Amino acid sequence: MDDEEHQLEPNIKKFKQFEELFKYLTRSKNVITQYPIVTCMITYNSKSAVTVTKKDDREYYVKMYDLGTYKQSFEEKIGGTPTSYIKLKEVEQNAAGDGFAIAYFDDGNFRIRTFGESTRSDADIAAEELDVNKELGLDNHTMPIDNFPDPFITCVFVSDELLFANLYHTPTRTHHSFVYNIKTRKVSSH
Amino acid sequence: MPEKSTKQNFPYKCFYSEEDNEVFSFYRQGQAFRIPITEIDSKRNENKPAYFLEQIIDKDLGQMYLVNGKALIARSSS
Repeated sequence: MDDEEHQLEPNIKKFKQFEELFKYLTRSKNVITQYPIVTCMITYNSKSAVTVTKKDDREYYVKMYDLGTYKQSFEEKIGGTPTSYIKLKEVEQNAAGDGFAIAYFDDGNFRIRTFGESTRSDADIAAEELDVNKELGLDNHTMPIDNFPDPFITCVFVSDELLFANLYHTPTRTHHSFVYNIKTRKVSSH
Repeated sequence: MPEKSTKQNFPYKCFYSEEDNEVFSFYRQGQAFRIPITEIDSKRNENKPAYFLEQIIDKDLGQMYLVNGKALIARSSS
């Protein structure tokens, strides 16, 4: 796709004689993503747009784009192995907009990944990721809904260090919730 | 979970309310959990139960926002 040719512009013509007033209030630029976007959000510090994109059922990506330069500033892959079956919808952010978390599903296994603004190696990611099934003693028999991106687990920051998460274990129709300390990597209130 | 909750149910979105020091978690099939957080300012929540569960609607919930920690705006379908 030709970036210049398909440049989107705000529809300010509808303002008729007031068009000039609105002309310079917005900036726009096409940023072509490699794969279709599942969700997109802007960080609370207004520095970046964060996207979740889906290559296929086995591989998703979280990417950040600098809102000043429109260049990609962060990328992490989720899944990508022959046995992966990923469900991921949203990225959560802390109040400062510089700490992030995803709660996702991989073939019956619930996982929580926290990250900042710097891309990490696969080894670092694996070392820091929380295996929720192992932590809570759950089996991997949960079946998600095929055409829905929802991972059956959601999370929210309650402070810069604490992340609340809850999931639905479908074989037992049980709701589980807990608080995860990102710094100490301890789970409480389960 | 109540009998109405099937295997197609799942937590859709959760929100933290600083004012109440509770997390509100909303399920696809209309259930709402209020879960007091004890890791922060635990005295405020010491007399509360571990959770409150309500069936807030008998239709499926979709995309949602919590306004000022008080009002839920949600898409819904039957």
